[in-house]
Amino acid sequence: MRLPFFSKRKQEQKKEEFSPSDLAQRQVEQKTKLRSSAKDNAEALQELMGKDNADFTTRELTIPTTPSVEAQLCFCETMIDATALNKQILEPLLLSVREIALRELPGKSVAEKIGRNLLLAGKLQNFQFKDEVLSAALGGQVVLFLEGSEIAMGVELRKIPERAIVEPQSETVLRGPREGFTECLSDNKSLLRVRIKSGKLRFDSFRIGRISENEGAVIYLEGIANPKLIREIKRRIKSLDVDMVADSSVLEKLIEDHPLLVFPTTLFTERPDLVEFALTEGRVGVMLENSPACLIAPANFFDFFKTAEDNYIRWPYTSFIRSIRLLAGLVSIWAPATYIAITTFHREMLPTALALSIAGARENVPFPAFVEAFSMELILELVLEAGVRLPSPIGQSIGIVGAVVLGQAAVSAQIVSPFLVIVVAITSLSSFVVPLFVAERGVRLLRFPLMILGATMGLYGIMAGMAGIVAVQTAMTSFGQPYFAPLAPFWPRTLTDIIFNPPIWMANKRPKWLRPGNRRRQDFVVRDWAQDGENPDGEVDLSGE
Amino acid sequence: MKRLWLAGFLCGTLFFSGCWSKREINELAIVSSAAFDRTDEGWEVTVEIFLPSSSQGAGGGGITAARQAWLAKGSGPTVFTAIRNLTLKVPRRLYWAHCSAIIIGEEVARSGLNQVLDFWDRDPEARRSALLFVYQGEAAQLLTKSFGAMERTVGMQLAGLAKTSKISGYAEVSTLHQFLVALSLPGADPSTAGLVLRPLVEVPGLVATGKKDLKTGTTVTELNLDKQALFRRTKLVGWLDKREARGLLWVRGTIKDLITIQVPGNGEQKIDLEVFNSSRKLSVKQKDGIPQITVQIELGLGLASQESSKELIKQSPSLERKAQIVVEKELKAAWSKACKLEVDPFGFGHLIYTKNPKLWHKLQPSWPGGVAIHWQVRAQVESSGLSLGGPRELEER
Repeated sequence: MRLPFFSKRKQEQKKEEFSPSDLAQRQVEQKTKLRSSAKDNAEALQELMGKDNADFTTRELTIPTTPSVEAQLCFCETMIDATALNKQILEPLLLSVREIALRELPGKSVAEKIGRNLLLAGKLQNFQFKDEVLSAALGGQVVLFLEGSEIAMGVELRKIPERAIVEPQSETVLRGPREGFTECLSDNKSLLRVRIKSGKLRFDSFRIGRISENEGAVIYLEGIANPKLIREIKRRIKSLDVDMVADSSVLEKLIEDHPLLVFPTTLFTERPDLVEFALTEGRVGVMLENSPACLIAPANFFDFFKTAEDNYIRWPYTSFIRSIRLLAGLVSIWAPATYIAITTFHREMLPTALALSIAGARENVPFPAFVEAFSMELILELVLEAGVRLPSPIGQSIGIVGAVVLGQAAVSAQIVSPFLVIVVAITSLSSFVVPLFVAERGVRLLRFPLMILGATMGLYGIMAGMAGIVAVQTAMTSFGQPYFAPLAPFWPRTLTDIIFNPPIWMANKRPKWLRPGNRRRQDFVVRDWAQDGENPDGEVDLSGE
Repeated sequence: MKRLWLAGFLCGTLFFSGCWSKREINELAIVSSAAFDRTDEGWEVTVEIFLPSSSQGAGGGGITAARQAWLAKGSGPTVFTAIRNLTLKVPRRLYWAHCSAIIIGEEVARSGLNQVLDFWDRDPEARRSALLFVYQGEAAQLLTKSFGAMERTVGMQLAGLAKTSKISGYAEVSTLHQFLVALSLPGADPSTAGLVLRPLVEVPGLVATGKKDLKTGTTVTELNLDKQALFRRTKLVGWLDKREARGLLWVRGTIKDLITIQVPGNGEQKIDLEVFNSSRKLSVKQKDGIPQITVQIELGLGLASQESSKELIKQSPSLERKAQIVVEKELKAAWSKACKLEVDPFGFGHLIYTKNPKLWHKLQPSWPGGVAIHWQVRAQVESSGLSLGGPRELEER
């Protein structure tokens, strides 16, 4: 279908304006019009699909009107609902039209007459070209060719295996909605539409993947998201030339600003409520058919320390736990390196008693602290990886192996010191506190180079390494927006946003760094009742009357 | 591109530097305390090294009677060589940063501390926060002799004592840093606490033979920190006893203690007043060519204990007068002792020096003389704890 060498054409395409029906546009170029013979059309289609292709079916039928009409039904039987096919198409066409005179029906052509009056379908599409028909059939439409008509009609009867809407495993909450996206894009769209019943919510669809022709949607709120941002995201997606995109995480790697670094620059979530929050802030979402995760861009470094529940629990606790998460993020990178540096270079920094117990614990350990720590961290990664890969009944026993064999036995065999086990445990614990880092495990790798720096240059080395990491982060962008935003560039007035999560009636403005089209979120007075002159203290007298 | 190279180069230079002396913590002999003595050939340095508890043994907690330390003695013509010679005996590298106590034998102290101070000040690992003690006797004995100790090492025992002794105010330990600072000031002499081993339980008729328990009879000694050593520059010249030491500490303003006085009108019964806050102000004036130093001490007191059952708090003015007299006596005793030893641990000379350096140079040869000190003590009884009077006897009700 596609020419192997079309780089030239691709460049031409790049110049074109993005349109929702990108695929349709491409197909117009291959102008293979349908013929007037239904049988020819059906055979041509069958040929495109391969003669022996099992899941493609053509069915010949005669519509018993007066005069009767020869027709061909083509569909992918694995993609459609067979009951609906019988009820909505075969029954009206074969049973209920007997003794109806075709010329009495309103409509100009035969196709129009049948389409307008007989087919039980909410959405009816007309096709002129062969490739349109093919992709419609593959997308779950039933295509009807009528003898003598050069126009084919498509009725969407899609039914594909779907799973239920469940709470996403990685983003559970104690309080808040419990629905999550599934792999079905239209379901996901409806989950969002239910939340935002505004015409401003846009799903600009696109297709991606040379072979897979995967459908996707750029989701935003018109007038709130920055139009330049929307254009940029669409431009990036449109310019992609890949075989297939299996998941939105693959798309993320294709469109993000810094694909080579360990830091992610787009958020992702499986929760519609989080997408709703993000959209109303002025961010843009990207969803893909077959992927339950919605990408959200742009994203800030500090966004990765926020969770689904932050908006649902009271703000003091949110702020507290968020600062803990920031601390944990640092600890997960620093802890082993600092242990090495302090025990080998900066013994004087320890309180005497602690220095003694560390020295005592390390008394019979044959390895230097660096080897000890490095190998323990590697072993920890082994345990984690094994736990993730194995099916859950066996996976749980990995934890026991990790804790008992590696923790207990390694200490009593004096291969590692108990202090190190504590350090390693704290490291892994705190790396799992940071919500999105859990999924984005790459950041945890940074502790290995820092351990080497700590072992060769002490705390100085760790600081030098951190300076490098921070320098990279401050230089990073996410879809053009600064990645380290309230810190660099330094915006003192929004600095508190890193930790504090103000109550929603105080968050009157959208985040500055997102540069939304409209910064004002709501009026200054959100809770008008609290301004009420009659009732200044909010006291409600329910007695009497 | 040029800027990128420059940035890369500048970042690269970060990694040409780094921290020094990488050594695993378990390859070190962590010194807890060091004792310095004189011999005929020169110096003898005894170090007390922590024995790191093995991982199984650690964490017992509670009071450990047995010391977990290891001793080594090095000797040489100088302090530095003596310490170097320790490497012939200690299988690990000595590490001085955690050394909390320097114990000086009295003989060394009398002949001058210069070498010890110099070593400590010069060595990059040794800390100036180490505490300085003078032991009345051979310093190494304090490490070798057994005495009732609560902490794992003598060094830790001494560090603890230095903290708790502040409560009693009978002696004040100065750190090496404070000692060196006092040395560097004109018109001030350093002083630090003195240690003494005294018998705790003496079983008469039996001879102390070492590690035997009380049943077979031996002398159990205990460590006392109740003297104040006075130095003239780096040389020990004499000692202050408990009361005199307090006179010194009042002027330094570091005291938090009890003042025991007699109850007015009732000769036998004694009461204690606790010092809650004390402030002192030193001022110097010149009158007829003689510098007049005024020492104003203000004490906020609280009734700490009493024997009688009267509500003594109501007689606070008379209590205050009595307290003032007691404090004044202590001050004067300390000053007269210092004058007798011709040292100035109070730093009055430095006070004159800062106000009038020329006058100080005139006074210096005869210091501490030719000065008039005015002691002004004001005490105020502010509280009486949780009760008003003493335990009431029935008949008094």
